[in-house]
Amino acid sequence: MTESEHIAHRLEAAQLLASFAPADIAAWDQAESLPEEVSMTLARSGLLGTFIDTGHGGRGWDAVSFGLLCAEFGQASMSLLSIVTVHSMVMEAIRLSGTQQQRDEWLPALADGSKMGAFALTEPDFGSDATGIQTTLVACSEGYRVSGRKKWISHAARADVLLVFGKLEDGSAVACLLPTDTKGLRVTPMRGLLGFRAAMVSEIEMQDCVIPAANLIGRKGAGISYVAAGALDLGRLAIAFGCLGAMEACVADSVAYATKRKQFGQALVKHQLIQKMLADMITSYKAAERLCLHAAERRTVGDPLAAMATATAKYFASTHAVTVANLAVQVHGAVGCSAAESRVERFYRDLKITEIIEGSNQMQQIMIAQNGMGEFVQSALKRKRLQTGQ
Amino acid sequence: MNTVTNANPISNSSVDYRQDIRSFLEHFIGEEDFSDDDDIFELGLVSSLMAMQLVLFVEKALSIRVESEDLNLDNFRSIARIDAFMRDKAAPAHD
Repeated sequence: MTESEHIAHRLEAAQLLASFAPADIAAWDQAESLPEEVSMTLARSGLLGTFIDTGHGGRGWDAVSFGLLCAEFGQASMSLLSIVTVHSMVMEAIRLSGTQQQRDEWLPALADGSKMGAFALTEPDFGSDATGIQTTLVACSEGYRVSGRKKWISHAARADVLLVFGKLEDGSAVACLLPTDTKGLRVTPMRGLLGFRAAMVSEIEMQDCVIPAANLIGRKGAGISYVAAGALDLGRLAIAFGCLGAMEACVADSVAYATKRKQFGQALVKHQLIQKMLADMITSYKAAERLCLHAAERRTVGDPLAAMATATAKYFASTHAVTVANLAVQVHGAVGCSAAESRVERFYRDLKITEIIEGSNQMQQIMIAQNGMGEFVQSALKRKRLQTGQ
Repeated sequence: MNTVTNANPISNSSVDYRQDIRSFLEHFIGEEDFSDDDDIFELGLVSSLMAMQLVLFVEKALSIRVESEDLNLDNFRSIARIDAFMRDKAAPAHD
């Protein structure tokens, strides 16, 4: 896609998000809930399945356009970004690991927003160690009976279908689609969370929920290693770009506030220690932007190394977004501590969550180190060969 | 060393992909010595992203889509197995 198409796509997302008043976005956070009509507006926006091919009801946007859309969501509300992220991850799992029949059956309704999805991997006792999950799928005459508990599942309270990860009786990991109107399913919204408070994050209890065998996504045994891994890869791209958007909001608000606010007879922005903070924020944003765009560009061309670029971008963008939000609160002073007077208070809480979700940053560090070490060994060998002429 | 036997010893394509696969894996594994039959997952030589990256590698190398029924980790455990899988996929379909 061309640069002008990317700009047009970003503008389309920005226009949708401009329809939500900043005061309302703040109110949803305070109420720890998203009004149903907002969920409906999102669903009907035509912007929830942009990366899905047009043959399956999507828009066929490339990864850069998808990333820029996520940046716009992140700039408006990390809770809304979270909803887009988990919905996208469900579609990505079906796109990558589903059969042609499953893609034809599920993707059009998810892509046009008439069905909303949520990603149910994390359990009360298993997060990063996803292979330990205890949810079970027991074969029965109708297909499978799903039982277990999931926790911290974004948008589960509003979703029509959950992508649930569990284990078969032989211990092999699988993924399955579980409609939320299935008997035996109970979804309880979680309150008192640090961030993502309007994302309808919920706890899920499943007791003998019956699903047809046709709802298994991917091969038996590939539930974590491929289905979850592929979905989380896209989730990390969404979070990385969302962090970028949130950083942009933090920098813009800080510059505006520091320009307007006067102390010691001059605008804050004239004070060099404030300039130091702004410089660090701007530099973090610029570096994160390059890493995010690089990851999206690699993904667009189908580079097998794109997943590594995405893990690196997510790690960097989330870590620096937390620092940027921290500095933004500092620039705003007491105003930055008040939800009624600034949005950086919300970003400060929300962005901490991004260091934990879609693979904690410690898991990203392990992946980056394990994968990256080989690259540097190879480049050192090449250099040696060049120097010795062998 | 843990080794796995070739999943498909009678390959359909005469093209040998082993060197290409090794070059790709060395990007991640570095200087570690491993044979064409070593199980790279069992040896802990690669991260949890590798299954996905290997599928993308095969898809890009052959310009194909790896379908759900082929997404079996056993097809990707060793250089020899990936080579067999790629030869199978690269060969024109027989009537």
